[in-house]
Formats: sequence, C-alpha cells, structure tokens
Amino acid sequence: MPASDVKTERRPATDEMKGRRVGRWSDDRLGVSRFARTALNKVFPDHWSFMLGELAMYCFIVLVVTGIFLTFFFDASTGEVVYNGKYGPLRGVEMSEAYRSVIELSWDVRAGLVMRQIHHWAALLFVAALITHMCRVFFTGAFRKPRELNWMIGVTLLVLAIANGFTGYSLPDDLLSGTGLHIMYAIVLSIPVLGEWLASLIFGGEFPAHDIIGRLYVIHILLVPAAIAMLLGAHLAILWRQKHTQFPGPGRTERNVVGSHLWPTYTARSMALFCLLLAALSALGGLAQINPVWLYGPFDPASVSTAAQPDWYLGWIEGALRVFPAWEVRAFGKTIANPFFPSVLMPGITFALLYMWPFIEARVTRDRDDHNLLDRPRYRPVRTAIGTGVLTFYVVLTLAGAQDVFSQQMDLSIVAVVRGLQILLVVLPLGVGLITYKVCKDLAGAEHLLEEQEEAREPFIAIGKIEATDGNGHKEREKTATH
Amino acid sequence: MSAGDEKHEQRAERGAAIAFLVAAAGAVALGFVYAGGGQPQAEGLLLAVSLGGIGVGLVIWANKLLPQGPVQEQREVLPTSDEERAGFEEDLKGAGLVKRRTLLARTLGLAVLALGGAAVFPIRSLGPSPGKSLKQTAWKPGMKLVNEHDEEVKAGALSVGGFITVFPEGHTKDADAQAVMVRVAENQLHPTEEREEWSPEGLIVYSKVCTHAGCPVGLYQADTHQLICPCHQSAFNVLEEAKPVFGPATRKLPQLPIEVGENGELKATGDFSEPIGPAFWNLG
Amino acid sequence: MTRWHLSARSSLLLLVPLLVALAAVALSRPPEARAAQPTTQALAEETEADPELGARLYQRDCVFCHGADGKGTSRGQSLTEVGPAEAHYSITTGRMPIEDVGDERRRREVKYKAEEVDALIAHMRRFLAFEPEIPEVNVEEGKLSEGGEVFLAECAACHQWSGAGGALLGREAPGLREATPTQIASAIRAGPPGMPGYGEEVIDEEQLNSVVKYVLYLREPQDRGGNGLWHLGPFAEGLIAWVVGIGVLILAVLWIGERGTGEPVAEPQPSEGEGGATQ
Repeated sequence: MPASDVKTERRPATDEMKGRRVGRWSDDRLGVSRFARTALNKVFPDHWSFMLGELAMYCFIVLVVTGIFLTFFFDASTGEVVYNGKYGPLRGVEMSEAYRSVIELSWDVRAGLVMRQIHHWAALLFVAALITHMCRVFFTGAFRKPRELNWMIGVTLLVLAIANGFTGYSLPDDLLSGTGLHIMYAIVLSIPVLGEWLASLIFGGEFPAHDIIGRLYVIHILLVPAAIAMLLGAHLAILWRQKHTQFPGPGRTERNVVGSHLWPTYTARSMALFCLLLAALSALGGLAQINPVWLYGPFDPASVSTAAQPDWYLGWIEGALRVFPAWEVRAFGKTIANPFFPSVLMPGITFALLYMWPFIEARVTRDRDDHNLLDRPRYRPVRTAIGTGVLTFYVVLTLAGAQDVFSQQMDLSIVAVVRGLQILLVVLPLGVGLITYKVCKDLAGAEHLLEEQEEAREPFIAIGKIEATDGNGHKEREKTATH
Repeated sequence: MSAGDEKHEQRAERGAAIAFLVAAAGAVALGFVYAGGGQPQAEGLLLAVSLGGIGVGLVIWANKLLPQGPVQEQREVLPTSDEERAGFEEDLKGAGLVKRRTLLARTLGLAVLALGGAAVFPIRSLGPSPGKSLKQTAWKPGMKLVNEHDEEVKAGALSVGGFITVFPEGHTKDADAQAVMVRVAENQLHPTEEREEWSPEGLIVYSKVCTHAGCPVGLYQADTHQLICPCHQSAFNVLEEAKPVFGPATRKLPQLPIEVGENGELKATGDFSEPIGPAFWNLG
Repeated sequence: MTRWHLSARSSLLLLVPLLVALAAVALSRPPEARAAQPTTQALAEETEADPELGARLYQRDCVFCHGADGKGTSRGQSLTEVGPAEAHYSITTGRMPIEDVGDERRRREVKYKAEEVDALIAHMRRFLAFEPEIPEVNVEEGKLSEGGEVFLAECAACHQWSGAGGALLGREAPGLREATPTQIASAIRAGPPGMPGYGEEVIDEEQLNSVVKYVLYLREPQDRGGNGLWHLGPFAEGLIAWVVGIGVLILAVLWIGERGTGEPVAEPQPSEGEGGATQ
C-alpha cells in the first residue's frame, strides 16, 4: 500500500514525493488521474450486509492462490502406481496416480496439507458466502430494476461455484468422491434422449472411464475458474456503473449513495475483511481436518462406504435422490430414469426460477420502476415468506442428504426417517412461510403504529416511504417517542 | 479536536500497532515451524494469528483513525438521452448496409451456421458411441467367477449367510461386470421356472451395480436377505429375484446365471438377466 | 435490538478464545496416534474351564429360550448351527443373554467374568456347531495396509470408512470402537445376525489379523489435518463451514461494517461535510 497522506508524519517529504512521481509518470502516459480520483471518492454503503458479497469474492481469490500451489503437486492421471510415502496404512497399496499425488501432498509435502485444507474450506465457504450474499439481495429486493442483469450473473456464479466444487471434490480419486462420480454418471445417463451420448462424451465411455479425472482437472482449474473470473469482473463492473443500493434512512434517497469513500476508509475495511477471512480459513485449514482422503481409501468401483455424503452444497441434490419415491416413467419402449426427476429436473427448475425471479416479481407487482433504496424484509411479507419457505425446503433436502447419519446417530429406523422427511418437505416450508408472513405483518404493523404516534408529536420530513434506517433507526425512534 | 479524542486516537494507534507486531511475530514463528519440518496445526494457527493480526490492525485503523462517514455521492441517471439513443441506432445501421445486402447477410449467416456445425464435430471424439455397451457386460457362458485378485471362487467358499464380490475371470477391473454372490438356504429359494437352474446349491449371484444411481450394492443384511445400497438406501430382496423393497430404486438387480463345475469352480452360463445399473432412455 | 458496537479490544477478545478453542480441540488428541497395542485375548483354554460352573450358568441364563439341549424353543433360536465364534461374540459383547424375550440384541455390560465365559462356552460346545471356531487373532502380525484394503472392500459399506457404524434397514451396523480383537474376528468369521460371515476362503488368517489391526487403528487414526470432526465426513464439514466459518465471518463483518451508518443520523438532512464527492 503506498503511503497515504493521513499517517506519514515521520518522513512526509520523501514518501509524498515518491508517490507523486509515480502518479505523474503514469498520468503522463495514461491520463488516469481524473478517473482514479472519481474511483477513490466512490461511496460504498457502510451497512455490514454489503460485505457478504465481498466475502465470496475473497474466497475465490484464496481458492485461486491456494489452487495454483496445489496444481504443482497434483497428478491428474488414473495410471496405477504404488504409494511409498510417510503414511503407513497406505504404504504398498495400489492406487491411481491422482490419489497418490494427493496423499503425498498431504503427508510428504511440507505445508501441503495446510494448503489443501485451506483450499477445501475456502470452497465450502465460497458457496456458503455466495448464498448468504444472495439471501441479502433477495430479501431486500436489491435484484429489482435496474439490477436484474447482475442478479442473473450472480445466479450463474452460484452454479459455477457449485460445479467447480464438485469437480474439485472428485479429483483426488478417493473412494468417497469416486462414489460421487458414479452417481453423477447415473444422473447424466438419466437425461431423456441425450443421456447415453452425454454420459459417454463427458466420461469418455462407460463408467469408470479413465479419461474423466484429467477432464475434470481441466474443467476445474481452467474452464470454470476462467468463467467465474470473467463473470465476477462483469458483476463488479455493473455494480460500479449502477452504484450500490442502500437501506432507506435519513438523507438516503433514490438519487444518492450514502456511506464511506472507497479511499482510504473503505479500502482499509475491505482489506481488513480479506485478512480476517484468510485468518479464519487458515485456522480451519490447520485445526479442522477436512476430506481426509487417506482414510477414505483409493477409489475402487466395487467398494463403497456408508455415510457417503457429497460436500454440503450438493447435499440438496443428494437428499432429493434419497427421498424421491421409486418412480420411473416407462412408455413406448423408452425410459425416463428415476434420478432424472430429483437430480436434473428439480435443480433445473430451481435455477430457472432463480434466474427468472426479478421478472416474475416485477410482473406480479406491476412494478417497473428503478429501485436504489432497499426494502426492509418486513415490508414485503409475501416475498419474505416465499424466501424463507423455499430456503426451508432446501435446508430439509440438504439434511435428507445425510439421512443415514441422522438415523444412526439418533437411533431411528431409516424407513421412519425417510417417511418423516418426505412429510417435512411439504409441511415445513409451508409452515415456515406462513409464520414468516405473520411475523412480518406484525413487525410492520407495530412499527407503523409507532410511526403514527411519532408523527402526531413532531413533524418529520419523510424521505422515501419508509423512514427507519434499520435496527438502529428503530431504536432511536423509540427513544424519541418516549420523550 | 478535543483532548479526549486525541487520547482515543492514541489508544487506537497503539492497538493497531500491537496487532501488526503480533502479526509479524506470527509470521516469524511460522518461518521457524516450516524450517523445522512443518506441522500442519502450528502452520494453520500461526498463519491465522499473522493474518488475523493484520486484519484486526486494519479494522482499528479504518474505524478509528480514518475519516468516518457518512458521505454521499449523487447517482447519475442510467439511461442516456433519447437523441443519443437515436444517434447510436442510426450509426449501428451503418447507413443501411445490413438492410440492403440481404443476400450477403443471408449467405454469411449460412456460412457461419455451417462452420458452427462443423466446429461441433470434434466433440464427437470425446467418447465412443454408447451403442449396445450399456446393455451387455463381459460375462459370457463358461466364464469362471473370480474374486478381486482374479482368484477362482469355489462353491465351498461361502457358507449360508456368506457374501462375496465376484468378477468374470480376467475382468476384475470391469465395473459393470461386478456381482455379488450370496448363499442362502436352498429351501428358502423358490425360483421361477426360467431361473430354476441359475442358483445351484443356494448360491445366487446379482449385479453389484445399483439400478438406481449405480453405487455398489455392498451391504448385505444376511438375516433378512436384503442387499442394500449405502448411497441412497435402496434395498433388494435376495430371495425374490432381488426385487426392490425400499428406497428409490425401481428395478430388480439383474441376476447372473451360474453353474458349479466339476472341481467345485463356479462358471457363468450367460450374461446378466437384464441390462445392469442405472436406467437410461433406450433401456426399453 | 442491540447494536453491534464492538470495540476493537472486545472483538479481539471474541476471536482469541475461538482460536484457542479450535487449537485446543485440534491438539487434544496427539497428532501421531499411538500405535494400537491391544492385548490379544487369551483363548479359552478348554481344559481350564469348570464344567460344573458352565452348566449352572447355562441353566440359569440360557435354558429358558434355547432349551437344555440347545435346540431352541419358541422363544429362542436353535444353537446347533451356531459356532463357538458367534457364541463367544454374543456373550462377551453382552448381546446375550437378554433379560426379556424380544429385547434388542445390542452391546451391553457383560455379566460374566472371563472364566465364567470360558466355562459357559465349554458347556455349550456339547451342542454348538464346530464351525466357525473362535478365531485366534494375532494383531501384531497384521499389516495395516492390507487391513485397510480389506476393510474398505468388505466392511466400510456397513460400518463406514471410519468404523463408526451405519444405518441399515430397521437396524444399524454397530460402531467398531468398543469391540475387542477377538470379538471383531469372531464377528467376521461367524456373521452374527444381520451380518454376513466371512470364511477363510474370503478373508484368510493373515487378512483377518490385518483387518483387526486396521479396525483398532481407526479408533485413533492419524489426524494430521487437525481435529477429526467426529470422523463423520462431508456432513460434519459442511456444518462447521456454516456454523464456525460463516458464523465467525459474519461477526467480523458486523464488527467492521455499519460504522457511520448509525451514529450521525440524528438530523434528517444528509451530513455532507467531510468533502462528500458531489459530482
């Protein structure tokens, strides 16, 4: 970081002169001072929830950096070799080169395991942060015009993040991920009309075809990350152009952005967040063991372990596979296989609805205006209720993906657990949605009442429809009301 | 600025500086750990201390010592003016170039389309035509049953309630040919006429690939005669042609007809009764 | 609603115990697991067993269901097709005898002393099947790598890669954390109800030693990566990612963010001081 003029009392002359020289040199050649100045003065809202997207972005950066380190050691080949490194229980065992290289990275390369674990934790957090960010955008209505495009890019980023998570999870060629790949093969195979061809083209033949690890590797380290990087760039560029949304509050209007300047305050905050994220990931990477592939053993198509779960972000598809009833369509000599419905159709509908949501909502509410001020979730009870209900549905599905772990830990029959989950999948989202709706209405009603009382006492300049800033505004309001 | 503020600032400055010093110390310690051969827990922890120190210091710096808002910035109106739009549209038309040269536009379109089609061909190289391979496996009449080490499996290897994974001789890496053999008491088996000869001495062989999503059906609950897939918990009843009795699977596990040879070795008398594994469009 | 108004120090205080706790959990187990050193259970020396004691115990605890000659009654199965291995397994894990007919067969406290077990089994040998015999395990001779291969090929499907057990239809495959070497080996050979038995043709003597050794190893595997997260796999990892990962980061974000939003908004007009960039 170049020395800022805020804290350079010791050697102001030299530092400032150096900085100025660099600035002049580049401005002579590029003429960037004007743009750079606007950039420095760009205003970022201060509300904490605006940093959730940044978390996801920084996770991606960590993934790229640690991932590059891992590529120097990983060997994407299924050739048969024998391991002879430090980990005793696998010494002398036949395995694929891919698996061996991961074991060696974990046991025989200094700092290799920490890097691998940070990478994996970052992947889990990347998707989690994306979803958290997306929830903020959804529940506050930040996707509305003019930001529909950025919402769709965001949904695409989620799809790509999940895809890259899965391909990465599959690379070590261990027993658990191999089982996952086998299921993925069945899922692709189940697609009507095209399934057989797609499966053969993707896997390079019938499972377990030997090309697949190499192909996944290229997809994992080149294709998808490049797409993520480009879309992330587009996401940020559009954000830059459209400027941030903001919560309503005193002085906040549809025509301005209130917050802190990018330089130096927001930059320092953002860098701080990056460092704290890195710290959390390092702590997890060093102290919490993740994906101990040496215990899962090398992949063998005839072996399998119970409690075979994918990483959490695919838990919902796994759960759907587990609780979907034994249906299959057979007609005119053709078959639509069972996995198609829970693992192709259901995710397809999920993402289609996510993509279309801004347009669906605009059509239903007949609202075609620009919105730069956010909704407070309680003032949009229907949207909020739909959101929590749908989230509940996917949480239950995710839990269903580990239904065998539950039934064993809780000493319940798996038959009962599956039946229970099937019922919960229908009942719980509805219940949660209804309760959310009621709570929103009550909260908004209470606030409205408060507002009226207040208006009767002192004239207040109304800005926007909603006056409270956020949780704090509410509190301050209460104080004034009791005067 | 009041004296109190100044004191605050000094305190904050000291706090941030301490945080940065902690970070530096952590980094140095990390270097020592690495040089000493490395230890994952220490590495992760020291890295966390180091980065956390920088992070905490920066937060203090940002929130206590840098200018605090809120400040505001005006938004520009996003849509451009009508004249500008019209001007752009005019320029895009390129003085009517596209409109008049319909023949050129169409033929160019055709060329691009054809080329695009041609560019798809290499995708075909990615894998063989699925053809019939999904419907058959390596099993052929007379092929011996072997274990995963390609060693012959004899009829006497299993007692009642026993369970073993078998492959066709010389094909122990064929995932689609893997099968499970179990032995049940002969009086419990009531095969249909067609399958009467398929399970000599109560030895009965089914495909090990689940008909739901392809996981190995590796779990045998011997007293209830159920083969269970640990991935999605489909269960198949061994006594009833491996009919699915629980879970998402819809189809039976295909059965492999076998016979006992002169020396007690086991041989297949054909391929599986149906295509193995998960269903697909042309399964029939 | 309380405001997230954490001072720098209190936030540090918040993070420090978290790190310490994580470290403590991670280091609570020695990273280099002690090599499993189980004592090979001395096999029942039939000569030493007291026949009178065995008969008495059988009379007291078993006859009601299994009958005096072991042929079984309407309450309990016949023992004439059960080998000594299974008898030994059932008795030494407390699965038998049960208090009431219909009690679940699960691990309980064993009510016999070692010599009582020997006497009881010696008595029962009069009607038990000869095979499978209580296996002789020699853990020291086992090879971990071979044991791992056998375990993952044959056992993990039900007992999980970590030996923690798993759900079956209407029952569960027990966790393997408490079983003694002889019990493990007996179960493999005999196949107690629900489990397939593995004869020597499938798992030979050497492999048996190895797989027992591996099962013992799984109790304290070398968790080089830190805390093993209960050895529950991706499910537990996802939980930690959300609860610890996203949880801590949201705390961090709450600490970093929101300053400036709350404080100066007492006046309704936007505070445009401090050089707001008005373009």
